[in-house]
Amino acid sequence: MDHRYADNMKNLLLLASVAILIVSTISLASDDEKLSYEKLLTETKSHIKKAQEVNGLWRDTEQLLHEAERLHKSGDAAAAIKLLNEVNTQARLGYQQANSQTSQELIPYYLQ
Amino acid sequence: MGDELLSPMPTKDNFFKAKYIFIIYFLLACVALTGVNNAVGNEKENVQDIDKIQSYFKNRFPDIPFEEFSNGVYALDEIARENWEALEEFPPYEIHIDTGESLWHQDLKHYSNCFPRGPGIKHLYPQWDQQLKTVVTLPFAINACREQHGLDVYDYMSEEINSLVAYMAYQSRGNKIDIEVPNQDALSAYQQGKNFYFTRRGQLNFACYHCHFDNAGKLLRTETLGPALGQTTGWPTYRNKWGALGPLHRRYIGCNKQVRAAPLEPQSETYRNLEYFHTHMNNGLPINGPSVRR
Repeated sequence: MDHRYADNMKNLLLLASVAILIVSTISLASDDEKLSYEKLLTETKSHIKKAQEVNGLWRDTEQLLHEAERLHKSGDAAAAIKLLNEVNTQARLGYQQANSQTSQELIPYYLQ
Repeated sequence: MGDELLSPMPTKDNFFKAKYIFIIYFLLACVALTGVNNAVGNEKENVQDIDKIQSYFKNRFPDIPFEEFSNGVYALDEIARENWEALEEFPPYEIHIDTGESLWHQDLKHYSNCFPRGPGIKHLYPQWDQQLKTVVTLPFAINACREQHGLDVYDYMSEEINSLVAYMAYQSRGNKIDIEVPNQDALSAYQQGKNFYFTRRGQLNFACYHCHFDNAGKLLRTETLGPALGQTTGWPTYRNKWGALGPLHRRYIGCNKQVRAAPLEPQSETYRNLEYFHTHMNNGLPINGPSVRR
């Protein structure tokens, strides 16, 4: 009887440790996700500001940023990060687009 | 001492002083002349811009008389022209001219002070204001005048200011556009407007000129793309799409959105500079605003 009790206790302890491991892994992943979201959000906002300063921002970029923030608030972190990456790319490209054109290259050949 | 003063022969020291003074004056004169040459050069550059742009469209559409460019796509598309001429028999902007006239007379005392040449001055705007160091469009000038006389300023998208500008445009009909770029500061604003016009922007990577130079006269879905030449003569415009009379800057906002670029505020400095360049190329074309467009 005591032997069976000890076995049960062992199993229970094993199960409890596995459960703790799983919960802590999820919690750590969630913390990582939160950290990467915050980092990405700050970086994206900075790219948007830079694009605005050179009149290079694209039409939907800010709207998509608000959508990503809404998704994050609603708890869908994965979708929020995916969208935020798109916003980040748009803001970066808008800035790059505005800066890649020098005034000498702008005017078409037939007006030079 | 007295002999020294009366001496006709310069001393060695005086000779060197005179030499240095001469060199300084010579250098100053060179700098001044360079400035004058630059100003003349830039003025030439502007004139060349107009010549090149107008020649481009005249060569592209040799059968269109110059003054017809004021009618935009209706100079190119016969069916659209028939439709437009039918609309012009009972133009939807007519009521706005009446409203604008009432608004003009309502504050006549102030407007006469700000615009002593009367309401028919649309062909002279936008213009460079040396005091404000900025490009002043007609709506901007109206609001500046109202502010100066303690009146409430209008929202640039409001029916009031657009009706007032419609009345002023109507009074200016037939007057030929005459925009000047009087100095270096004005030239800098003109160049900024020109750069905006020719810069690719938005997710679709289009510049204004892609549609209104390269592809002018071609179809975009069912619509003919209008040539840049003459595009500023008919504002404000009643657009069927809007179901309302609207300003040129509303169209700029629409164009920017169409290429998926973030639009700017109406009457922002960038759009005013753009209007400066965009109108300057139309020098010599008659004002025909307000107008009706699809």
